[in-house]
Amino acid sequence: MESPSGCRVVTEVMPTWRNLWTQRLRWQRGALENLGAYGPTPTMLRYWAQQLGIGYSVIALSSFWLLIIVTALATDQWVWFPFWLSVGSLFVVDRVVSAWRGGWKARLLAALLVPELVYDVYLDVVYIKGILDITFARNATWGHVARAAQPTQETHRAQPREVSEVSS
Amino acid sequence: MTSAPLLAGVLPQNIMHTPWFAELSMFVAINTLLYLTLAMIKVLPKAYLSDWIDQRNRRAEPRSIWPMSPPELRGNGHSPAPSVSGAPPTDQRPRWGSQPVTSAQTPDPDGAQ
Repeated sequence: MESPSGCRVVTEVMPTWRNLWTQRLRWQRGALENLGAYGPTPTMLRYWAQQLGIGYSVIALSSFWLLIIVTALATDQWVWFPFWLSVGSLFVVDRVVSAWRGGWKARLLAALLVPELVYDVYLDVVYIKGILDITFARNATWGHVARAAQPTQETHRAQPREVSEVSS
Repeated sequence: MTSAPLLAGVLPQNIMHTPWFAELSMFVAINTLLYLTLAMIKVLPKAYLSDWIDQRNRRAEPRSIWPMSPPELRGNGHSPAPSVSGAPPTDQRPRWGSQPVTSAQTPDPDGAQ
């Protein structure tokens, strides 16, 4: 299968958390429903592994936060663990390398680790909501964001005439 | 090493000495090391076993019509040497670069054609 010549795919940036929720739920539910439609074929093995990996991360990440919260609420001492600090610093390296092309702001945000862990919780909740919606056969909606501001004339001129956009 | 208390007293401290807390800690520790392994595999350059172990299914010398490097860089002494006699090579296919080797590009040790 080949894309048409000049076809360009763009990812819409969601302006609000509600829009982001709708978009990510659509993606997540679509991914799971595709797995159900195609079944466990060799071609789909990678996507099955991805979704099962997200499912495991729901358990792993919620356990992590539960441990952190219970510890923070139960102890009256701040204890430094050199081993886990070094493990955490390796995670920082991983995230900064992954975000390197995004510039200094992206690298700084990645180095903090916690914002991404919180965002991962958000995606995990979306994952669970997607499974619940499929389980109870709830209707899915696209939730397209209506854009008030139109692209400038200059932007139109900069794009090849035959370019067709597909948003996701 | 310790420092100032954080949110002490919300939960009883002996909760950290219960069996379920130990199991939760172990589960989180194993998961953390698992994800650390995955992260390091992703960050580090890919390593292939075949790069380190010579296998019999590997050719001793490149046989492509587009060899990847000139013979003096290969160091195995098995590749055909460039012609220095001024005579054109026996075939006109490029041997060690994108440009075909011709007599005009071949240095003549005597300075004569």
